[in-house]
Amino acid sequence: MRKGLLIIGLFISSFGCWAQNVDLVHGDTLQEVTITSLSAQKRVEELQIGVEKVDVATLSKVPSLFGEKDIIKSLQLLPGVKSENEASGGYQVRGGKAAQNLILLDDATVYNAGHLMGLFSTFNDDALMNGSLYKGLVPAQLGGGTASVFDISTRSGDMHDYHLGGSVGLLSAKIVAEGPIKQDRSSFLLACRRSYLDLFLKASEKYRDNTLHFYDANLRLNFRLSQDDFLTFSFFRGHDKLGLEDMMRMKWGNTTGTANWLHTFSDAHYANTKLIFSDFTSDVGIDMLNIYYTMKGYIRHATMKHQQVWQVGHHRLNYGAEATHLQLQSAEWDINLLHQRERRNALMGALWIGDEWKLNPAIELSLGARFHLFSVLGGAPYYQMDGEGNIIETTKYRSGHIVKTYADVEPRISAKLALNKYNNLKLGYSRTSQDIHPISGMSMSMPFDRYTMTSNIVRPEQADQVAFGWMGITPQGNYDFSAEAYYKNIRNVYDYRDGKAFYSEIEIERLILGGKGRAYGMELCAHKNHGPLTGWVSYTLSWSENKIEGINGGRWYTASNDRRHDIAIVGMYQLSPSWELATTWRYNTGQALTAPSAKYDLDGTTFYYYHERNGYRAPAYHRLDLSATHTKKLRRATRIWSFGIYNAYRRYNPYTIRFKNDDKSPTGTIVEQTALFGIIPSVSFSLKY
Amino acid sequence: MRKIIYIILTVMALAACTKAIDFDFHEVEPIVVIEGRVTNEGTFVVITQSRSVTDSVHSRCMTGAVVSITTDDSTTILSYDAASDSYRSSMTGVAGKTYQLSVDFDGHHYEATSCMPASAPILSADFFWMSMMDERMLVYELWAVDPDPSERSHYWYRIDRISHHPHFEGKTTTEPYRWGVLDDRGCPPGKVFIDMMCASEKKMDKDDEEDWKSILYDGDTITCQLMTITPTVYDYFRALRAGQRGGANPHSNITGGCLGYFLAGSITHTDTIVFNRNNVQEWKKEN
Repeated sequence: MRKGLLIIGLFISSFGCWAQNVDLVHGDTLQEVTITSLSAQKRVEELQIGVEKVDVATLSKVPSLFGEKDIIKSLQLLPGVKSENEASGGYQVRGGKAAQNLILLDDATVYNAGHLMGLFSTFNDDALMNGSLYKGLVPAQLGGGTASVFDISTRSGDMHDYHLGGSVGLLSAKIVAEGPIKQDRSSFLLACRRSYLDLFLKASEKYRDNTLHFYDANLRLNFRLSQDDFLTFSFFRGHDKLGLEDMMRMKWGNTTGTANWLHTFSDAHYANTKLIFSDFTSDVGIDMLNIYYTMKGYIRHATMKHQQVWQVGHHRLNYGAEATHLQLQSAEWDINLLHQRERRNALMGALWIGDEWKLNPAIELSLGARFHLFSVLGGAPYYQMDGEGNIIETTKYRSGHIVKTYADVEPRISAKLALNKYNNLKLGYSRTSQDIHPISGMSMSMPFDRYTMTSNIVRPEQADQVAFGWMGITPQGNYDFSAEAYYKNIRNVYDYRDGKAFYSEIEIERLILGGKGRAYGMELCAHKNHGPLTGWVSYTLSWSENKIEGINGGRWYTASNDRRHDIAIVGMYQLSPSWELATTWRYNTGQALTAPSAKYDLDGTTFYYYHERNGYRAPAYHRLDLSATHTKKLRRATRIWSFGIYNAYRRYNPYTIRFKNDDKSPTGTIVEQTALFGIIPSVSFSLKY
Repeated sequence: MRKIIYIILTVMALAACTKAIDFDFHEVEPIVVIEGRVTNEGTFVVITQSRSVTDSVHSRCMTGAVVSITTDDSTTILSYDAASDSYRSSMTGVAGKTYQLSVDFDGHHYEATSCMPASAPILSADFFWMSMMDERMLVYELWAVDPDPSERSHYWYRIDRISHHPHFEGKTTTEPYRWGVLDDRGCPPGKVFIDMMCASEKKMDKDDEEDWKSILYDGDTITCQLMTITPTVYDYFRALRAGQRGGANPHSNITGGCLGYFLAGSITHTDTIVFNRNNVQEWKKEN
């Protein structure tokens, strides 16, 4: 029943859609973000290896599930980026898990960036400017995700004119407003989206006491204080709420805020000073029969960051420092009459220096180092444990006492060798650390996963990656090509012990075991940049393996996110000034899965025996999506109709595969594959002024 | 409005799809499986071997093993009993005592120990209707005494039903109606409870074949046994159940490289309920 409600929600929420081209990029903000242009030539000239510059305007043309434009889903069309599965908002980068991605919205950390359990992204494309996805090789000023960093910037409001736009779908609506607060001195941008699935539920006798809705809101305020000083405030809130009468509730969401003071010393020297706050909370509760269960968790960051960029001759220096006070509640729960809580604090710091050095016309280097510091703070119990996860000693330090400090230097190197005007080679190495550890009991990330952070027992997760690549562009820039190979080692990856679940004990360190992983592969991509037909083809060949004591006899095993081949084809065709067509086709090798190798009987019940972890493959996944967009300029507005077909040839792709013992059947076991979606048509309408 | 929801539901029903697929299993050599219990009602050990995933015939107990249970003061040899297809002894366990299992079979030695917890007397067990959205769910509720309120206690339960309904004519099953494990975290002091959903009233009315296993029919007799177990055995059963979905094997408490478990537990039984849906009361909080 709950699943039914969820599916209804997922489906009906699709009809609302708002489309607006990103056409309001102001020079004022260019200095504070790394992205200034997304042209093919810029892409080829990029010094950093393993980075994808994400153009929201382009990605918004790509067909999407239910017609809901989704920057996170669109990322999955890029080489080296994969979806967790069809309904998940999580993405996996170069053999990493979704939990190893760091998502920054105006420098504020966002967790579980999905509405409705991840079916839709929490980011409203109306509010976004652009983003950069660093696939594990990151410049020195970024850190915190061992698989990737997705650095997203919101748009600045127009300082000269007012704009208003909105869309009203069947069940969700979006509105965006922007304009000057004081002409040429300050501006605002407000973008909001809300589903109104709950109104439909209220109209039904059966579902009227249930809750199912989400909303998100972005606000950005810009102030030009002087010729050299610029102040920006950006706020974000995304929230989901689901409820089944008064028996079950689920709430989760992110709240972030960033204040940024940009000061320009000269044309070649500027500084950003930021105060950043982010708060991710989750809250689940069940009150049914005699069972009363609630669990609440949160992660709060309060950060101060100062960064300077200085162009000196052939050097572009980027240096700075940041300090974060971190509060993490892995859980606070009520299990009937039992109340327990695990909450900890920490200080996280970083000092970095990076230099983009143009050695000569042919060679450019990006050299950097990040000094990573993590101090576990007192005010909560800390444990010593035996190998089975039993507590043998508990110590409670006073609040503010430093229990343990981890410090290490993370080198960041990227080199570009221009073979000629149109071709270059790249090489890179990067070490990254992650101190927030999501522990998921499922193959996909969920809003209710428990989190822990580095402690006296849990060590920082650390990844080393090397990559080598080539990029080339044709003389007129009509086509560009890239090829990259990578190898990654990762340490201190944590997962639940066999038989333990998130609710087994409040002390999460009793439930987990650490291990290591490795991933390697190759990515190819070709873009067509000009003409009525544009788009790209990407191919990824990859391997991903894990080794955790107690799993698979302590031997290396194929990771659940290992998929050998991934292909994505994206095409956009300007049929006429008003009609634009778009299509995507994707293919990937079936997901690795664990299947039984024998069965046995205990107390009259038959159980399966599993010999090899992820030793089997699900059937391959492939899907074609189509969309057509009609844009008409009216006297004072622009009207857009968008039509889409998701899964156009109705491929029933595997979502789950279940093994059911059936002693009545001659095969003894029935293997059931469930597909989530058949053909899903969509339509949306939007109007902007 | 309601029509829209029906349309959406219909579209989604058409969209999602479940089908049986062919699958090529990687078979392994048979593995020894040992299930041993010392309880206040007697002692038995069943030694079987794992079978092919595509095999639909249950394994039989392997003969020729030397099986013994040792305590501080005695050793009992269990002999094979053809009637129950297991190694048996009338030896009954005593709460607080530790028992050691020893099995020698096919050139391999297996052993395990388990300490028997005190029993949990049953206070009540009954069926109730619980309203949920526009349905009524049949719920089985059991209350028992927590034998050691100062420590976390662990329990295993098994519910059996005997049905004479025509659906089950000529069919025998060894599977329980339900089984599971629980602990007493958060329970009212000195008590422990099980609340278990059986089937919705609508399903019971519809009576589809796929639901026969969960539907209770008038005249079915229902019994439940509740056994106190050690934390190790509790973890084993929890991992056994979770691993079936997650693709992992539980860690056996028996050394020597076999599947299965050895436990010492205290069993209590509910009175037998003859199910009659017309006599089922509405669930109220004070129950």
